[in-house]
Parts: sequence; C-alpha cells; structure tokens
Amino acid sequence: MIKGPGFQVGADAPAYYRRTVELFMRPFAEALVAATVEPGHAVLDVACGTGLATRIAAEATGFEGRVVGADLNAGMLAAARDVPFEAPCPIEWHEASALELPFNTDEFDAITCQQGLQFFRDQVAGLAEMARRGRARGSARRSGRAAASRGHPTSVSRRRC
Amino acid sequence: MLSRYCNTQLPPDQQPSVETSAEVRGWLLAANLTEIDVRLIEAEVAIPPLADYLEDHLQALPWSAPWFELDEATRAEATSELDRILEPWRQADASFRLPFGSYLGIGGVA
Repeated sequence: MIKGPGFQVGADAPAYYRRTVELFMRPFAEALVAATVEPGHAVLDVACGTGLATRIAAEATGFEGRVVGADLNAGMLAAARDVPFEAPCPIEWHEASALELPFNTDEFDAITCQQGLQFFRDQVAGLAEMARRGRARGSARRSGRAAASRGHPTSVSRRRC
Repeated sequence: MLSRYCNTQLPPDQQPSVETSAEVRGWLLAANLTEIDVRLIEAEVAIPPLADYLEDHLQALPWSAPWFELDEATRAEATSELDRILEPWRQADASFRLPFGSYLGIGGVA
C-alpha cells in the first residue's frame, strides 16, 4: 500500500483479518483474480495483507506461474507466511511500499491490489507504480494487466459507470 | 453517524477515500493504464455481532484513532446506535448480512 512511515495497523489486525475479513472478502478477491490472472502468469499482489488474493492468484496461475505478495506491514506478512497453503507455484513475500515496489520494470503479467486502494494516500501514484511493474503490450509474453478494488457498503452508493 | 461522537476531521492525507466508479476510472486513466474497465462487484457479507466485531475491525484500520480516544461510555452509546441502524440486516444469532459492493478497476499496461 501507499502507506506513509506511520501507517501501521493494530497488533491484533493480522489475526482479525485471517479470522473475519478473509471470509467476507473472498468473493471480491476471487473476482479480482478472475479478471486479471491467467495460467502461467507472473503475478504481483500489492498491499497483500494476510495474502488472501495472493493465494487465490497462486491457484489461478498454477504450477507454471509465479506469485509475489507485497505489503508494508510486517505483521500482516508474517500472518500470510503462516497460513497453511500448498501453493502450486512459488509465493514470495516482500515488505514494501506500493510507492516503491522493489521489482523490475515489466516483471509481471498481472498486478493486483485487493481492497488496498482506499488506504493509498495517492491512488494515481500507486496505480502508476503498479503499472510500471507490468509487462507492456506487445512485449514479453502477454500484455500486462493491473487491477485494484475498493469496497463500500452498497447502501451508501450503488452507482455503476 | 460517528461524527457525532468523535472528531472525524482527519487531515486530508489520512481520510478514507469515498470515490465513485468515475473516480476509479479517472485514477486508472491518470496512471496511464489503457482499455479501462470498472465493474461493481456486489455480494452479501456476513458480519459477526457488533460486540465481537466493531473494535476488532476498527483497530485494523489506519484511521480509527478518534474512536479509541473516546471514553468507554461514549463508545458503548455509539455502538448501540450503530446496532439499531443495522437492525434490518440482523440475523437470529445477532450477526448481520450486509449488502456490500466493490469497484473493480482493470487496466492494460501501455
């Protein structure tokens, strides 16, 4: 996430995310991955938290793929690493800000961000940084795709473009 | 509702965004993504009873400091009001099933 130096969540947040948030966010994470990830993709999941979308991406990309989860919060990443999960492909976890993703340009086929956009202090800068890590159209294997999601109670707003 | 109980006038860079689909599309455009598609994904989410949920949820958010600065009685009063507001979605076990939507923005890398 684009989280400034002071952005950290409570110490109990990782356990809460695993216990509660992952349950009700699963349909949204599955939609994000389904729209973005194909078998064999190299996937970067930004602001991965406890790794819900990261693990779903690993299942989607399969044994020929590669998945990286990045988050600024060490506690979230520790929880992500501890989740019992037999990934079909390697999953790497990196402590990193979305503003300065420590990856090469054009390194990934798909870049996802599940429910992290609302925490970005500068959404455009974060999305641009995500896009820089995606493979450009016509280069490498496939055109890169970047996707991010942001939730809200539908009783507040249900507008569709 | 919570603004009646605590100071929610956070500095601009600490406020949660409350964007529309057009804003999400604008962000993707400004980030030089192409072939942009913004979808609204909707699902009913299961929320535990507020007593088991609210403060767990808030402590997991970066902008919840004003809530935790309230005294216990005020927090209890605000929780009760929120509980009443959520009455239409309450289940027999005191949990809630709430309609929830998420804008999914997708773009190609240029």
